Amino acid sequence: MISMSGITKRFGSGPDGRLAVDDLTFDIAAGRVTGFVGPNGAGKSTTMRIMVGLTLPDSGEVRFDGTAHHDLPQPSRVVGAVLDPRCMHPGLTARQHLRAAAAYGGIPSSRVEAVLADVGLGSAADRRTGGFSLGMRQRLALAGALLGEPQVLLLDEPSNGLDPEGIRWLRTRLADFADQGGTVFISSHLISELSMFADDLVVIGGGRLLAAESVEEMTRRVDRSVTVTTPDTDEFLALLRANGVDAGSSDGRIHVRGATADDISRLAHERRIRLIEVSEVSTSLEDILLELTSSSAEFAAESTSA
Amino acid sequence: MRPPNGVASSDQQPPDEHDESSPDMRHLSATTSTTTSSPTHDGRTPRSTTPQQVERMPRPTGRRTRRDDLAALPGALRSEWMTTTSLRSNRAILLVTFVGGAATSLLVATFVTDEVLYLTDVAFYWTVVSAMLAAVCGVSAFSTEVRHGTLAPLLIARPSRWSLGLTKLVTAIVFGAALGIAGAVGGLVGGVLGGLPTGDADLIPATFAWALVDTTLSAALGLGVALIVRHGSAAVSGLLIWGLVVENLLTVFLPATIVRFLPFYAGTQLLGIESDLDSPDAIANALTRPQSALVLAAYAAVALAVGMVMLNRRDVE
Repeated sequence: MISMSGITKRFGSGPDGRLAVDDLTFDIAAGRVTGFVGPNGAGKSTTMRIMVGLTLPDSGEVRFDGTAHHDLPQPSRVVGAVLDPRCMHPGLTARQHLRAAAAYGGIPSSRVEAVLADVGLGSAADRRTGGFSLGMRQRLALAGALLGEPQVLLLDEPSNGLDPEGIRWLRTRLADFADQGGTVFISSHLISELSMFADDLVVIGGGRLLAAESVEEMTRRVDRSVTVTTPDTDEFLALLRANGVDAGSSDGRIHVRGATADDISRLAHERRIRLIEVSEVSTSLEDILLELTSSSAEFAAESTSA
Repeated sequence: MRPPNGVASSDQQPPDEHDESSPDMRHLSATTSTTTSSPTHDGRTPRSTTPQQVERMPRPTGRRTRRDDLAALPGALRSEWMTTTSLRSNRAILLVTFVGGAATSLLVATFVTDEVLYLTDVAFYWTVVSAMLAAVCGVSAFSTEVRHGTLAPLLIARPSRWSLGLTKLVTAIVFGAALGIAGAVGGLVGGVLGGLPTGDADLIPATFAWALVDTTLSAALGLGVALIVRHGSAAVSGLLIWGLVVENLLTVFLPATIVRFLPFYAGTQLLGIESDLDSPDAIANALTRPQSALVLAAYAAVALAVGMVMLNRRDVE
């Protein structure tokens, strides 16, 4: 399990300083895919860099099963990270890149062929990475992260530049990793993408924690309503209310909460009320994310101007 | 199956009555572990509540110690060796240094006919350039990692920044020595091919050794500058402008008692090449080879020390 406690990071000082991460505290469970969501500039990348010691926090700590990253005797055996898929020398082949990475991390070179096959780059192993597409770089970067058979994978926007097939492959690979007991912490600014395969979501905005819950809990926030158009608006509205349904009207339409379109059409049919249109309207997870982060954007603006 | 846009389907499982939902993530790890049999995402088979255990390599436990960092150094050096020898650009630089040394001696032997020059001197003319190239390679030993973003993966794999610096220092020194050897051997080959008289052959091994001291210390200086500046182009430009322009101007305007303490001037003094351009004042105040080596080493040591402090304190992009 990864525990983050009171992580705060400010870049610069004085009025021009920017609070990138503000007192972040949450845990990431093992055997789960945890999505890390927030708009651009929310502090996702900074947080991930703090987790692996690339950026030093002003306060707070991150622990991997109780041990800080810099205290791990062989970190590549515990944490594999892809924070930038371009991190490779263009003059090296994929195999050379991974062999050098394995030697540096104290990992047997026999793992190189295994991870090359794992990410589907076996046929491109002797090509120089300078000629790789972004998708191939993503796969090679993931291969590098998997070299040490780590317990934790940290991935910053790993689907950027991947085609739909690559995205599907990535989802499956990460789900498999979590199924084997690994911890996956993956950032994206697209909640819809993460909700396809993540188990939990951590939402931040303006560097602050806005929500941390399972995808199931997040989807329960989704607001569903039914809009009804009928020539007998007043009569049907009264009927709905008489049946204990939460309903109101505006612009000649009835807006209903707490009942399905099927319930409403059945009621109208029983009372012989003609309906012109019945449509279900629901907010999406993206709407929820926007709602959550819009308040944080206001916070960010206030804190910057303060 | 979860419908598109993450909207809950009507047949979604109701919340477990024991599931104490809370936005507090401290709670999440405890609560979500009870929901692993939730509806699948995008057609994926449901997660098992008990993660599969797979056989993995043995994982070291405990806290990292200085001993762990030392034990990791051979692997880090092997990694550097793999990278350095795999890159065609490094082989090209070695070849250019050899050819440059040979061409310089050959051209001097062919075109300088109004005075008698000996192989013991001419073979090491090119070392001045070799030292400059070594400084540039010292810069790129670190700045390449910054430019290609490979510094971050190195520090994620091994967070010890001092051991990274030490690894880079060894790499720079070895490559600097290789450049010194390539340039000097090239100079000797070119001089022999050009028919230069040997002179006192007993002087050659000592000059050769001092030439290597010059190139290795120059590479270390370049690495130190790169650790401070980080930006490769800026570091290389600064070193070249200093070595080729500023120092030459200072040599003209400053007294010899100060000039002898300039870094690249001290490096050139290691070669023991006598020139008609040297003023009587410069000859009288010249430092010995060991003293000049100490001067150049001091510059390299200061640059490396400052660079290491900055490497430890700075965030890594």
